[in-house]
Amino acid sequence: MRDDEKALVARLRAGDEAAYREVVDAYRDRLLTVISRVAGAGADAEDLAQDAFLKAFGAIGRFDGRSALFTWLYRIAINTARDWHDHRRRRPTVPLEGVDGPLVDPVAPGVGPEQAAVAREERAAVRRALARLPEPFRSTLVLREMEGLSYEDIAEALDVSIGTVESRIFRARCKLRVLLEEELP
Amino acid sequence: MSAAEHDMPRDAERAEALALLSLLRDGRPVDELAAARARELAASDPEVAAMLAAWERQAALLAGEPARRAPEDFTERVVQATRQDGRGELLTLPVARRLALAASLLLALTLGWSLARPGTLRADPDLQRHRHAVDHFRATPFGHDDILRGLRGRVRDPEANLPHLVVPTGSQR
Repeated sequence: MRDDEKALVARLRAGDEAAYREVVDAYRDRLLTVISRVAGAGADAEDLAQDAFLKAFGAIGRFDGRSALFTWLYRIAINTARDWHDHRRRRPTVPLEGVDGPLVDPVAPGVGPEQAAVAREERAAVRRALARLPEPFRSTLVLREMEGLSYEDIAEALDVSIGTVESRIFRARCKLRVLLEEELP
Repeated sequence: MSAAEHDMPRDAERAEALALLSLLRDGRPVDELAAARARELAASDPEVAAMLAAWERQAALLAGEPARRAPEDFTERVVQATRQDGRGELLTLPVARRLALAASLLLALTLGWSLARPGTLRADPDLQRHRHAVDHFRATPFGHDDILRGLRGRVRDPEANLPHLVVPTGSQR
């Protein structure tokens, strides 16, 4: 852990509100994004992200500094999203259309309406395929392909070995190919 | 050799090559010789090539997914929630632990309350008589060696009827 991060953690432990603000400002978009991708459709990602930050601040005394603060935050965020996902699986609800993604997908300028429609359909398909990808493959692939984390950071965030990350990413890619072909023939 | 038998080692070879190609795709360190064999297979085997193309496509789609942006007031909401609940570590405890903690607190409070109250229990009358008999020997309720002193007093008393009892006096000790 870097010295500036050590100082930040010490301020968090002391209950310094400015430190809370600093951490939330730095990681809110990343945590919100990863939670919405792991929890999937129907999740109130903002509520879950807030919950994840509260859990992190409440447990900051147990942060041992062996990993970087952001991988520790990712771990809490992913566990929060997984808990929500498991809870919803026990009590299924009907997801609202568009909750897990923006209502209007951005399309590159200069793209014709037909191409834009295809791109939208592809994005919707990849979201559906990702939602069907079972855990722990989904969170591993999200961290690699969407968040761009290194294998080492993924291993820390998921609390698994590098070998497990390597195997999960390979298997996740193979599984997602099958699911995507079903969603987008 | 049947076509299925011929395909079996081929499938295993493909799977092994794809596992290596997955690592190579992310720049992971792989044995040079094994990596060269995997690349060779990718160039010659349409199934391996198709898998690699599919990975490229899905990676592009996943990477193209727009990130979520938190609303402006999100940070303030989190800080306020942190300030309001102030429960710290309690928030993160699982339900079973919270229940156990609540039960322990309740037990401690009940014990404290019970001990702080003036006692309403009374001893059995026989016990109370015995207590008075013992207290008779005491000069003060908490005096040092008071029972011994009481016995010595009894020895000097002709009615004590303790002829064989030799009680050391203070100077003898």
